[in-house]
Amino acid sequence: MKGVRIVLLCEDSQTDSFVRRFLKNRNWGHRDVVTAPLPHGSQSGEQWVRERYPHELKAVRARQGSLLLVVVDADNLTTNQRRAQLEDQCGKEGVPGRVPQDPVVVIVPRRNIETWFAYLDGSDVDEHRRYSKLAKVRDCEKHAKELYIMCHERQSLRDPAPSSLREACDEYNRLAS
Amino acid sequence: MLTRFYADNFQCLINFELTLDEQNVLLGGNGSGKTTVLDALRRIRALVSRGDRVDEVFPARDLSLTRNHDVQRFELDLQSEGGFYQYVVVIEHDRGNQKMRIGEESLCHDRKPIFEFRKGSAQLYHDDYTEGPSYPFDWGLSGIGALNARPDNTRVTGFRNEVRDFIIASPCPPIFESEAKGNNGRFDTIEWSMRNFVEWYRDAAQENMGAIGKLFEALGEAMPGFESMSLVEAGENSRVLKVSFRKAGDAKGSTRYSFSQLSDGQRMLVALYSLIYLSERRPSLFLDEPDNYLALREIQPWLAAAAERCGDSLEQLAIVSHHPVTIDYLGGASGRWFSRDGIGPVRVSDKPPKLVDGLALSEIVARDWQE
Repeated sequence: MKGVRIVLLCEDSQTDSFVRRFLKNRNWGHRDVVTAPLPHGSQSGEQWVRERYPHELKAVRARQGSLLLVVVDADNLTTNQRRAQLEDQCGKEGVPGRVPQDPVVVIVPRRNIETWFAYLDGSDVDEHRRYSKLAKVRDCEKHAKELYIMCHERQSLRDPAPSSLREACDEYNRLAS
Repeated sequence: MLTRFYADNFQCLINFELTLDEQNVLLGGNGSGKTTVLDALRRIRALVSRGDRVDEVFPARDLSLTRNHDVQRFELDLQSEGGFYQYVVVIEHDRGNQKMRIGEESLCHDRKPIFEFRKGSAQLYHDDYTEGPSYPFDWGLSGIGALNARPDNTRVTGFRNEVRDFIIASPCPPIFESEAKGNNGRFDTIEWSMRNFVEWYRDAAQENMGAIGKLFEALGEAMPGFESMSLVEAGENSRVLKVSFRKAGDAKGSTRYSFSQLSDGQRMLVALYSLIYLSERRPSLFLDEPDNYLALREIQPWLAAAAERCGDSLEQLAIVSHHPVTIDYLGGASGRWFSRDGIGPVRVSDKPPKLVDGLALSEIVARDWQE
């Protein structure tokens, strides 16, 4: 298929970098992925993703063979609540909500992507706690590699894994299959 | 990595300070001073690492027109594996006599002096920071640029090499040459227009043969049918860059084009991917509008690849851009926002101005709705 295969809708450049590095291990290159415009300084990243979601969902439905990969932090909500917000937004925009056969993967790190980085560094994590940001965006290289190894080589997450990451793996398997 | 640049009394840069990270996008309207920063860096590089004379590099016509002052000052802070460098050069102009000279030049390493030049006298320090020789020196040259490399001045020459390895360019593919001429000694500097890109490529490909596979792979994805590139003998001391393409499903073999037979956009792709994959010496890469000439489809893949190379084959990436794709992809996290009130001095901020919610950054810039 010609053109971009995956539309990545995410909150910030850290998430973009992590997802791209992870996908690269699966031989999805920079030309296979396009990142939808990222939010800017004054905006809530979550709100930005939520408002764009119905439009991107509509677009991938119309483009056979493409996939929408949404990554949005749970912050102080549960992963289901965050997913429900996305579906509510579809209702507001008059776009039919997501159904299982839609080419959409929604990943919700809880509390946020830094929680997963701490887990991938080897720590036991609390999904309600805030973890510090990485010093440099590119420092997520090792986290992307570790997650790839867990997902593909060992085919299991280290216990105790954050439940949001387990859910994400289930979602991701839809992408991988 | 260049972490800070300061300029005073150079074109539109008056008491101007810019801090930089690993990835930077210089944003702002036409005439807001973005390219002037790259121009100043290019000249400092010529003075410090190539040993050009100050009157060739900083003519009086580049003094700020809105300021009646005859002294220019430049400062660079540079963080490298070898430590933290702070460089200062002060240039004094005598407009009446059309003369200029270096009034002061100094370099510190981890905040300790390692070279000082004042009033015609240079003081060198050894690598252990003890005082070295003091000697009278030419006011028209950089004392750092003229220094012979010795085992006990590796900190000073280390700085000079870092600056030498900056790649600063405003690529203009219509004038790229396809030949690498001459074979005498090392390649010096990639030119502002990158006209001599093929000469750079010849040396870079030799130095970094291990990366050629990755480069060809990236070019194969960006240019359908691309197979490989090679430098072919074209007379004495001359080689022409040839690019091979194969038609899909064609078993007969490939067709080889001269680099000059490619389109401007294809030449730009070759140059941009070569810069990020073949730069063996981990340069800081300063590019003026690299997204010009590229098809819309090609911009984000190159930006993502370049960002990924930072910390690997690239030390740093700083690009000037007006392109919406670049602004939306890198502007939020890595933007440096230039502004200028008419012909007043340039100001820059690493935080975006107050922006209107709900619009992509490029849309806000296009509407000039930043407050």
